[in-house]
Amino acid sequence: MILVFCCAVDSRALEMGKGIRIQSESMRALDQSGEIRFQGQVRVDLEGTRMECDRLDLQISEGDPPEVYQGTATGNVLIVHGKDRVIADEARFDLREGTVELSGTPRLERGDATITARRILYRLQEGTADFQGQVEAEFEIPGD
Amino acid sequence: MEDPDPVRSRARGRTVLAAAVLAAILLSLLTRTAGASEVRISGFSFVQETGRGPWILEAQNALLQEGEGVTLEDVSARLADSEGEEVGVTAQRGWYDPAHLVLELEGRVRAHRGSGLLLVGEKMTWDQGKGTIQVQGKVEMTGLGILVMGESAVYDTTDRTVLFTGGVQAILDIMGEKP
Repeated sequence: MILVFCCAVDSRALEMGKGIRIQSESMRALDQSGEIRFQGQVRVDLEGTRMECDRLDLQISEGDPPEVYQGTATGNVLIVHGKDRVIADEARFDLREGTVELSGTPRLERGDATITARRILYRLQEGTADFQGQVEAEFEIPGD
Repeated sequence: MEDPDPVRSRARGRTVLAAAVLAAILLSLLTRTAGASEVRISGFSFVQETGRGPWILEAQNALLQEGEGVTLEDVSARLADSEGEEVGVTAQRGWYDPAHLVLELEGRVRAHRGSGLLLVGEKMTWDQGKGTIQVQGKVEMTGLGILVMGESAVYDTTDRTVLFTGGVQAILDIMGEKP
């Protein structure tokens, strides 16, 4: 049950340099620190994956060309990929490490199945997810 | 009583002095052209000393009107920010208020910082007193590895931040390639 925004930000997308489309009410770019902040009804689209949140902070390297290497989505985070939905308070993306960490009682939904945990760590290269702390899973039993 | 901020005070003093000098020049020109209420200048160039460094204004044509500022055609303005990078704007038309250090621009309006950040819009106001460049109307920004569109943007020349508002849309590449 691997889904998430992380699915779209997979290694193939990284290699191909796929563009991310972001909509929000406002955006502030801090030229000195290489930080960009999107605020208010933020929506991110990438290769069929959608993410919504209240605020999105991105870190951009000073290299030429500049590179987005880190991001944090906070507040009412919702990630939708196909039939899968992830709900969390915060999602931290580290594109150099290839990880996405979901916190704030993240919940993973696919159809009637739900998994909750204190923290979910997704490793992009391996395509694996670790559910940590008070993990609870609910599945519908066929024929029940 | 001691001035709490002598640097700002001196900057204000220079600004007032520069505005007074420009006003005197304009008055002198108006006086010399007896009976004329306006003066036209080709190849207009003017350096305004401000608390943020010299602000250079240039225009292909300028129309000086007594008490109404300066109307400009094919305008450009620039200054060097605290890091030595050039911040500049260009436009087809403009209007300059020397008393308040405000330059209003329209028509193919573009603002840049160095060779990186570029803002394009329909109208622009450079308020050198506040140190801000406000761009309005279908604003686009490129640079920083990102393309941003919105209804309005304000660039702060002091802390070098840009704030976009109104239906913001951005396209960026996680590999840093130009969108």
